[in-house]
Amino acid sequence: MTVGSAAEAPAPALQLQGVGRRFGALQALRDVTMEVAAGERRAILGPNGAGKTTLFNVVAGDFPPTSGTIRLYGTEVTHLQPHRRTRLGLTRTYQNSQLFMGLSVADSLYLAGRGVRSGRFSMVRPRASDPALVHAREVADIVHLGDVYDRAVGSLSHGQQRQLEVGMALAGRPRLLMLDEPAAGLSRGERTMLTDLLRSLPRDITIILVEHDMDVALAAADRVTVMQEGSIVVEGTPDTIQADQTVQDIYLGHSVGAHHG
Amino acid sequence: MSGMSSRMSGRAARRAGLPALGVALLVLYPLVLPLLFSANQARYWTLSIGSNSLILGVVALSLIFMSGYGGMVSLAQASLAGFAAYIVAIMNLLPSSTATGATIGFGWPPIPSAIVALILATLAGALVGAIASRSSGIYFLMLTLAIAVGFFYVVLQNYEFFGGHIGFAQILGPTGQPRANPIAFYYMCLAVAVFAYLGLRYLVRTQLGLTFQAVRDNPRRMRALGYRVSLHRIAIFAIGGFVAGLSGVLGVWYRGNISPGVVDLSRTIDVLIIAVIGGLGYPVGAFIGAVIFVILDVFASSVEVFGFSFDERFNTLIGLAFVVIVLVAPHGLVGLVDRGWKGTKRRLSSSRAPATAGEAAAGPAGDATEEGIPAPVDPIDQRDPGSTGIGNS
Ligand SMILES: Nc1ncnc2c1ncn2[C@@H]1O[C@H](COP(=O)(O)OP(=O)(O)O)[C@@H](O)[C@H]1O
Ligand SMILES: [Mg+2]
Repeated sequence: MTVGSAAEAPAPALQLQGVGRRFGALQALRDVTMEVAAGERRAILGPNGAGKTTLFNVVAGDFPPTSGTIRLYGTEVTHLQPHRRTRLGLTRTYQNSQLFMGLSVADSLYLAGRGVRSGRFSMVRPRASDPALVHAREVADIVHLGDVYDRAVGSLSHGQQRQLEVGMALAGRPRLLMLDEPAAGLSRGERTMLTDLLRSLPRDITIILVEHDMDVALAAADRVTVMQEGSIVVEGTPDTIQADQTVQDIYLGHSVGAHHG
Repeated sequence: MSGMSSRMSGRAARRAGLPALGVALLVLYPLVLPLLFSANQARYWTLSIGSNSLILGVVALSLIFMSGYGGMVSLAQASLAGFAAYIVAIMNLLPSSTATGATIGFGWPPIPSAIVALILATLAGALVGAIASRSSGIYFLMLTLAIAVGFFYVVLQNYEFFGGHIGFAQILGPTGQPRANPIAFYYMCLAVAVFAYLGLRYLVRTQLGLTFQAVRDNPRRMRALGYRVSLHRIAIFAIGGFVAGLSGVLGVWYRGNISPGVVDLSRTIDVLIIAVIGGLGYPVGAFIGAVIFVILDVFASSVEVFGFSFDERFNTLIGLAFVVIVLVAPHGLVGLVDRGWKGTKRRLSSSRAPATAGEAAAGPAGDATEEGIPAPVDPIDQRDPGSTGIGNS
């Protein structure tokens, strides 16, 4: 709708105003108001069931919020269809991988890159020099899937499938990249690879990261938002969040408890 | 893209060999017949067995394509073929030459009539898609079935356009009377069948063809990648309508007439049976299934057992064949051979040298997009729960 004029600061990548989502009697999101600046790396923390994935689904357009408004780079998208939001520069990954099990890695990355371009209905086979194919290959190398480029997605290991999740989101050349627990189920080595990958992404990509692993989250984030029971509890820099007593109680205590006993 | 990259290996060459051999045999088929049979019998085998199988194979191919690559079993394909057949008749005949007082008719030559029929069949396919792909599972089946049954009653009761219960007769194709020139007619059918088969094989490796498979596997992710899923579903229906239309055009030229019997429910069931016998996951299965269906059809009526003819028992026979296939070879005859062959190959190679775990895992799945269609074909089109919220795209 409104786009900030050239003189003003650039519009924030994501602006949520009083966003709520209810599933029957369950209020999964309540009055979530937050702003993520363009180029920022934001981590979202919170115990299971806090509403982090629901927030992603609402922002991506899987279902509309039951209240509030959502703006992407200044454009209101609250009721926009998901594919249109993607074409505005929003891509995401899923906590539970959403892949094309019958296709190859190459085909998946090719399609992921082509979704935001014209020619989606092309009935001509691309040549090997096609920029979209070249780009798919580049992304495969970035997410360390070059060796399994021609393999069927269904035959990949769990870790490789998680890498493909990220690769498919990157292939759409996002301005805003939303990652839902990308490190879930990864080995220590794979986690390091993921953190390095996130750090290496150009600064003009805004990243919102849901992550259970505090090390991954705090290493990658400029700012951290902590959620509980559908609401934002506190927001701040990684340092202030780590020092925050409420956070200690609801989140850190929770996960320490889970680990030790 | 596994198919597009530079892997033009011996494996690919061997794969090209089998279809080429198949086509060569099909080309030689009508030329060999006169050496074996009387002229009458040769004509019978050329038309009633050969051409008929190709025509039925093309419509079954449209179903196999849609179910394998799009995950949608449409029961409207026989009706779309019949629709194209009616359009050919309407475009081709003059009202004065029809027996029923149909008021529409253009007297166009066969080829332009066929082109109009194919365009309209494609659009009709898209329309069926626009209606049916809004639902899923059993409702999807019921909707396509309802469209098929509805079309039957429309042509049965409408005299102005469709000639009512009588239909149209004396429709000639570009090769004239099939009986007068059976070999030319057969080659026309063969050319169309090869065109449809190779065309679809080409298509599934294009951008559009890949979107069909991706929508089949995960519509929610497709939306999140920027695709408007409903349009891609409609596109696969349009292509399915076009291929079914090819069969319908050949069919009306083969019979020379068209009447509601050609679009009744039993034709829909025939197409489904052919596809299942051949193998729902295998495009070539459409033609294998069609040959078996046609031969059973022909011989059931000529065979006599203990003094009674099987004439009326064709349905029993085909029903039995269907049950046996579904129980013994759920992936159809082609699936049985394909899986048996791969199993043998695996056993042979594993007894020679233990494959690495990675290779073993990659084997069957990695090959999938090239021959059979990957992922078990599930007639129930799985919709993600999230799709109901905003619009239905
Ligand atoms: N589609 C849905 N339908 C009903 N309830 C849901 C749905 N999605 C999430 N929920 C519920 O909303 C709450 C928040 O879930 P979720 O957003 O997945 O939390 P998180 O990702 O923070 O672990 C949970 O209680 C969950 O059961
Ligand atoms: Mg979650």
